[in-house]
Order: sequence, then C-alpha cells, then structure tokens
Amino acid sequence: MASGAATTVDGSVFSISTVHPDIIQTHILTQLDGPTLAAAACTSSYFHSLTRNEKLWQEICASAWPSVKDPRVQTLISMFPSGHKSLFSDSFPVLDLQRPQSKHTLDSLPSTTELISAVDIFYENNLLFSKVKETETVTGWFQFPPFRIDLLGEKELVPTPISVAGESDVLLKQLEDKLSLSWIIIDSSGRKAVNLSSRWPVSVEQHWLTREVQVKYAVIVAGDDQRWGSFSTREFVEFEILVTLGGKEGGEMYVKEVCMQMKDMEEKNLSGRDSLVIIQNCIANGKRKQGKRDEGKHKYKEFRVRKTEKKDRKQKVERFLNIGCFSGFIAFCSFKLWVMLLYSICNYSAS
Amino acid sequence: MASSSSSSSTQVKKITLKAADGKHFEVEEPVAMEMETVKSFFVGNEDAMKDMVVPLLNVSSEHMPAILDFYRNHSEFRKRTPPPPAEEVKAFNEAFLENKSDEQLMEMIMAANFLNTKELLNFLTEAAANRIKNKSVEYVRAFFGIENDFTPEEEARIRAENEWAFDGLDED
Repeated sequence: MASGAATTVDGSVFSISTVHPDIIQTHILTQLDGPTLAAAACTSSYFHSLTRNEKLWQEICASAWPSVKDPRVQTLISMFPSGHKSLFSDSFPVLDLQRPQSKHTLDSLPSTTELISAVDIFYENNLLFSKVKETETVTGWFQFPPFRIDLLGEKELVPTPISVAGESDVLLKQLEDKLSLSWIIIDSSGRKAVNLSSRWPVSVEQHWLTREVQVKYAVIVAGDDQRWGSFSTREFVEFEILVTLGGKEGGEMYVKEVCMQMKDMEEKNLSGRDSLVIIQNCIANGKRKQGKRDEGKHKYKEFRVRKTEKKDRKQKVERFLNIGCFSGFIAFCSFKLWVMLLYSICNYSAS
Repeated sequence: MASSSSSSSTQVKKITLKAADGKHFEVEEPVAMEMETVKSFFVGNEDAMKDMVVPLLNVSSEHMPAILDFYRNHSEFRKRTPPPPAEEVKAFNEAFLENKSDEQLMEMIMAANFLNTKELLNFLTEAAANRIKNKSVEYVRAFFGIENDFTPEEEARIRAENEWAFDGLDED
C-alpha cells in the first residue's frame, strides 16, 4: 500500500480536504459535549448515524450524572427510544412548562407504579453525593400525604470538603457559586425522564440559631388547575429541592438532608397523587431548552413576585367578602327579628 | 520503498524524513522516534538507520516544522524533573494552535494520525473539538467540510429532535 501511494504522491500537489471518518468517530466525537454532539447529528446523514452510537452518549451521561450508572437506572434507559441519547436530551436541558395542559391531557397520562430518582450533587465539578431512589406511587402511603422524597436516612451524613471558617456571607456565596445539583426523575412506565432541579441554587440561607445552611433549588412549572386563572392557587407550582448542611466552626460541612417537595402558590404542599400528575405531565409534555445559569434563579424570583401579588389580591377579596358577609349577617338578623316579631304578634292575636 | 537515498547524515544519529511534497528534513533520532510510523520503519532494520530517507506520505512539508517543534518540546517536558508547571505547557500549546486555520488543523490531524503519535493526535483532536463546541450546525458543517445530504423534511425532523441544543449557541 505504501509503495503504491508513494508513486502517486511523489511530486504531485499535496492536499487533504477531509479528515478520515474513523478519526472523527474515535477521536473527535468522543471529546464533544452533548449539545455539540446533537448539533453534529444534524449536519449530514453520515454524521447522524455516527452520533447514534450508544457508547458515546453513555459516556456523556455517566460523566454528567454518575448516578445513572446504577444498574436499575441502566435497565430503564435501555428501554428508552434512543437509549442514553434520549436520557440526555430529556434530562440535560432545563424543563420549561409554562402553558397549562388541558384536563384531557392530564387524564390520559399513563399510570405509573414507580418514580425513580437519580440524584447527583457536585461541588466545583467534584462529585459529593450520588444516589438512586425508588418511590412507589400506588399505595395510600404515597398518594394522600404531602409529596416528599427524602434521600438520606435519619442519621445519614455525607461529608464535604467545604470548610466552615470565616465570614458566613462568604460561605453562603461560595455554596451558591459552587454547589450544583441534578435530580433526574424517570417514570417507570413512560420511557422518559426529566430533570426537576434548577442545577444551581435559587437561594442559600443560614438558620440564625442552629447555623445550619439550607440550599434551595427550584423549578417552576404550570400547575394542574388553570380554571380560575390567576385566582387559582395552582396556576403555577414549585418543585422545591432542599439541601441542608451542618458543620462546626473550623471543621468541614456535611450534608444532613436532601429532599424534594412540591408546593402551590400559597406554599401549601401538594399530595402525592396531585404531584404525580404534574410530574408525569412534565415528563411527557414539558419542553426542554438549554437554559442559562441564572435563568432558574430569575424564574424563581418571578414566581415569588407572583405569589405575593396573589396573596395581596386574595387579602383584598377576603376583606371585600368579610364586609359582604357582615352586612349579610345584619340583614339576616333583622329579617329574623322581623319574622319573630310577626310570629309573636300572630300568636298573641290568636290567643 | 524509499528508492532514492541521496541524503547523508554525517551528524550523530540524524534521520532524514521526506515530506509528501518531496522536501527533506533532517531530524535528531530521538525526535524522529517519537513518531511510531518512523520507529516501525527501523524495527528489525537497524543498519538502515544511517543513510535511509523515510518517506512520510501524508505529511505536507508546510506542517513539518511545527510538528517537529511539538515533539521536541513535549519530549523535553516529559523528561524534565521536576515536571514543568502546567502553565508552561499550556502556553506552548496555545502558541502552537495560534494562527492555525481550521483547514491547517485538519491537515495536521491527518498527519498526526499517519505518524501514529497519540499525544499529538489527542492534542489536535481536542483542539478541533473545542473549536466546534457550542457552535451552530452550519458551522460544524463548514468545519468538517460536510455536505448536507438531508432532504428538507428529514433535516427539519432531525433538527426538531435536537431542538434543545440550539438555543444559547455562540456566534459563529
């Protein structure tokens, strides 16, 4: 082969316009991140077939979320339409569900028996914590009480390299900048997934007495009740993920609680059954988009403004109703008095 | 294979390499041995070393000086104790890629592949991957010189599948 090539190349003009496909496949595609690999898939049918390689996406998913390497999750992913690529395009982009869904869509959601959470917490690109948890969704234990998934056992503590020293403002800022969290939820029946975390904290607060720090991640989505528009307390709902960290001055912090809940616009917890419908709706119908880092925080702030407005409006309505009730009561009383009077007059005249 | 062995290496252990366009390069033996392709040329053929010209069929003479420079520097980095600071290596690598067009980068990737040197190939392919990170489909097409063979319907469908990846792209 070499000698054949030598005769043709020797003396002729040397030019290379395209790189060998195997170099692209084994050396370049393997170094791309998910979004770029998705862009490469759209360039030509050949690239499209190259990027369908399950292994490429498996690597990308495993490095983004070590938790998905769990055999339980792997089994579920193998049932996804495009395997790890589906998982990535479902769970990497930010969930965006601002439009209400019709009652019909919500009713037609498949029935699920289990939600699988795959959670990863990173501090400055180093994995702190990774866990897979199954939550059954059929029994009354799940359906009726407030929805809540706890990842840590009662006395379970996860060590971190974050040291508690110096100004607490600095510590909180550090956590806000560096502590990221991903919470992928897979519906055991739907062959789809969704990420219900804002990735970056929307707020970091320290308890004034216990000095424990609560880092909050939140995603705001359209709720299941849009009938009364802005009067509904579930026009929008909030997935709230709380990470509680403790630690003594001079030592290192530890994670003592990681939990997810769902709240309506009056901060009331939704029941398991109601939450499940919304989660399934997010998985099936939520748009996915590649969000900017501060977007989650921005949306959360907007949500808080909306909540306050709603509260004000509600108070006004209540005041109005109170006045209405009171005048109604007065009217009723005077009417009753009048009837009683009439009755006694009749009685009197009859006797 | 190499029929014309005209070059003479009087210096201590120098090897003559011939680029695809016929130009000759005299290279110190350890540097030449960084290239697996050249190394394999001499395996079991030690006598040939002195006066043989090694033809490099896929390497243009345009890129030879830069490639040899990379080998020299990186082998020096590897030998040095204590190892050089990361900044020094980074600075060299950045300077190496500076002013290199996409096309030149591609040609060098082909050369590194032919010369069978993992270090250079990994370095260059990583640079290529970085250049297309967060870029539009059109940019990636132009970068690799890919011809779009989708029908408009196919392309629309595939783009819709990957829609999530397209907002927040960098300027081309």
